[in-house]
Amino acid sequence: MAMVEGELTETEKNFGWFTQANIKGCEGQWVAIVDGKMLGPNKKIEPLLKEAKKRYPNKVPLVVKVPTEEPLVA
Amino acid sequence: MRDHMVLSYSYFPSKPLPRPIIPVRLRHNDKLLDVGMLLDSGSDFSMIPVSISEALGMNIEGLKKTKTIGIGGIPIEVKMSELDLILKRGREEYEMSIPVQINLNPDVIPLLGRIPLFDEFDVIFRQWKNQINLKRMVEKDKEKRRKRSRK
Repeated sequence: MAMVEGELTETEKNFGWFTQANIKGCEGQWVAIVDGKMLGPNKKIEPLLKEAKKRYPNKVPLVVKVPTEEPLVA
Repeated sequence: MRDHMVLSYSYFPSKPLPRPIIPVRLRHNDKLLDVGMLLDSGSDFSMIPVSISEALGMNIEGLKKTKTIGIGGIPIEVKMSELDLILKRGREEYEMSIPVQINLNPDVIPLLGRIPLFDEFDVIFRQWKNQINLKRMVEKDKEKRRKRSRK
């Protein structure tokens, strides 16, 4: 079995950066990550995507809803 | 494509419990959005909030509302549609069209369900290591599985 190696994609870079970021205060809200920078948090996605498009028109943003501290049952 | 390629992801380090949230790319027509989705082996289908379907430019007006049953037996109103799911790492790229439930609540956490991800990958939760491995099934494995399911 071979693990996938190689250059990280834009998606993974953004997610990797986000996993290292200080997310205290973001719980239960949306954040957008573009080019290693976090926008938000915000209770709604739309304003984040609007700002991402304005500041980084050629980038694909990553949106994440930050889980809360309560146990999660999906 | 090489056999038995594995895409490996770390759990999202939320407190107090890390969660199996993985980054995926969603595409509808020419619109792209990267989304952290909770990998949910208990969900038949993937589910996105309506806010994400809007961001992807999906027209859901004419779609029929259906009900899906959540934990606790509470019905949730959804609309059924389709989009492309892209998993990519380095030179490896897997793309599949997936059925998706659009939850009319704009703020629910996006879920990555079993169909069809679990038909294409062996999904391994390594809870002790806070890691998820997606192992691409080769054709012979799929055939074995199909034979087994016919018995």
